[in-house]
Amino acid sequence: MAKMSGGEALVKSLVREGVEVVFGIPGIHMSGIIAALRDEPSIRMVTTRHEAGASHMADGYARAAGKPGVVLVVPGAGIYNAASGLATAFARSSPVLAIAGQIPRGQIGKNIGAYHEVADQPSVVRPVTKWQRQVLRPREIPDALCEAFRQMRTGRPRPVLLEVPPDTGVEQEEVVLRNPAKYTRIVPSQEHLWGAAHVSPFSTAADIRGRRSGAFRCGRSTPSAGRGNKHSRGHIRRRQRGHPGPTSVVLWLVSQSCW
Amino acid sequence: MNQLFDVMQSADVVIGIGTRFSLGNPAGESSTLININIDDSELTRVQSNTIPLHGDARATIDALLDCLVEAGAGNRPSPAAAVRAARRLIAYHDIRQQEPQYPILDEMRNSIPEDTFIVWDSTKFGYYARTHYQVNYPKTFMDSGYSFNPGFSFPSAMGVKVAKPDRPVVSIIGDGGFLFYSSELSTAVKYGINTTTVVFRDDSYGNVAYDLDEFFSGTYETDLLNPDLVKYAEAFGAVGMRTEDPLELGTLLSRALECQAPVIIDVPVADMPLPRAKLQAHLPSVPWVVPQEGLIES
Repeated sequence: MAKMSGGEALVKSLVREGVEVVFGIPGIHMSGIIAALRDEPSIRMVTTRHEAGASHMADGYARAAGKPGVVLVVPGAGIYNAASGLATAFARSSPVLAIAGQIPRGQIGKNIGAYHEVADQPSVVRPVTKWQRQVLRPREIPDALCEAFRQMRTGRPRPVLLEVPPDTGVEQEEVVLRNPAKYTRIVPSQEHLWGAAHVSPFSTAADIRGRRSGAFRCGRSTPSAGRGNKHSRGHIRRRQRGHPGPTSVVLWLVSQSCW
Repeated sequence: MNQLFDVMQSADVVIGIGTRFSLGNPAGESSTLININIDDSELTRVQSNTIPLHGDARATIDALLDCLVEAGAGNRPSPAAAVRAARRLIAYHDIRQQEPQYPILDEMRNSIPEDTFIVWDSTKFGYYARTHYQVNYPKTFMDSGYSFNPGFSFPSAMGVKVAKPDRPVVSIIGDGGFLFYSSELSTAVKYGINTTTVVFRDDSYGNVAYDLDEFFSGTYETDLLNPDLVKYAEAFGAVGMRTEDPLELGTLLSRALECQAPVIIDVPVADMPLPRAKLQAHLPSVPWVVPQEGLIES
C-alpha cells in the first residue's frame, strides 16, 4: 500500500497491464492523469489533433499489436468525438480502453451546466462499449482497471469505458496496486464438442480415406447431433450407413480479427 | 462471386469460426452449422440446425480435434485439391479482369512487401478489395467491419504503424474519407509515424453518387472541392506524390515505402463501376435502400 494520486494509481496500473502507448488529447479535467503519464517513462503519449483520430489510432494499434489500445479524452465533446473510433473498434471486435474525464464528483448527475457536463455520459458510448465504469476514489482504480482489462481480454474483445473525475485524478490516498489477472481460454462443454465431432463429415472420415476426390462425403442434417450422447451418436452412425448422403464441401469461415 | 456462392450453397456442413453470418448461412437450413464463437449471443441466432460451440477459437479447435481423435476419425485426405478446383472455377467465370480496379490492385499487390498492413477505407477500392484482393500474409487486411465509416483508415493505419514500426503500413482511401481526419497528418509528421496513404480522388462522394445515378435518376450534392493534395501534404511537412495513371501506382508505392516520412499519394481517377452488380444477384435487395416486400413483417 502506498499513498498516491488517482492519476498515479491509473498510470501505474496501466504499466502493470503492459500498456506502452496512450493516444489522446490532454485536457484540464485530466491533469492528474497527464501529470502521472509525464512522470512515467515506460508509457509514451501520442497527442492527436482530434479525439476521433486518437480512438481510431487506438483501434489500429490494438489490431496490429494484439493487445488493448488506450485512448484518453476529456469529458463531454471529447467522448462524443472519440465515439466514432470506438464504434469502428466495436464493429471489428477490437479491444480499446477509453479513459474519459468527468466533471467534479460533487457535480455529477446534477444537470447544472457544469463545464463539459453531459448528463449520463456513459450512455454516449454504451452502444459501442461492452463495459462502463466510473471510479470516484483513487483506491477504486486498480480494481476497476483490472476488470476493464479482463473485459477486453476475455469473451469477445470490444471497447470499454473508464471514467475518472478530475478530483479523483488529483486526490492522494492509500492505494493497493494489483497484478494483472490470469485468464483461462473458454472451451465448449464436452457434450457440445462430442456433438460436433460426430456430425458428418467427421464421423464418416474413415470411410472416405482413399477417395480420389478432394471433396468430403457427408450425411445430411442431423438435428440430434447436438445432444452428443451415446444414443444419438449411434443414431447418426446408423443413419449414415443407411444414407451415405451426397458428396459435398465443408467450408471453414474464419473472420479476420485481431486475435 | 456467383461460382463461389454455388460452391458455398452445395455444402452439407458449414463450420463458422468467429464469424457473424450477417447474410445468413449461405448453404441454408438444410446444412448443419457448427458455429464456433466466443460470443454466446452469436451462437444460435443464424439457424435452428446448429451445433453451437461456445469458446475461444484456438482452444475449441484443439478440443474438437482431441474429440475427433478419440472418436477414431483418423486422418482424412487434404481438401487442398478441392479448394484449388473451386478457385479455378471461380477464376474462370470471374469477370473481374474486365473491371478497371483489378489491374490497379494487382499492380499494388505486386509492388509492396507481402507483410504490408493495408487498411482499406470505405471507398470504391476498399469495397472492391473486400472480395477481390488476395491476401497472402495473416492479419494484414484491415477494414472497418460493418462500421463502414469513411476516413477511419488514415488514423487507424497510424495506430498500426505505432504498434509495428518496422512493418510497411498503407492506407487506401478516397478523397471524401481522407479529409475527415487529414489533420492527423500533423500528428504523423510530429511523431514520425510514417504510413503511406493512397488517395483515390474522384472529387466526389463517389459511391453515393453512383447509387443516386444508377437507381434514383441522378446524383445530388455529392461533388467535392479538394485542396491540391500534394501541396497539402507538403504544407504539413509530409511527402506528396501524384500519378495520373493508376497503373503507375506500384512504382510510387515502392518509392513511398522507402521514404522516412508520411507520404500522401494523390491518384485522380474517373468514375469506377462497382463490382456490386455481380454481388447483388445474390443479395436480397437491389438496391438495398429500397423497401423490400416481405422483409418487414407487418
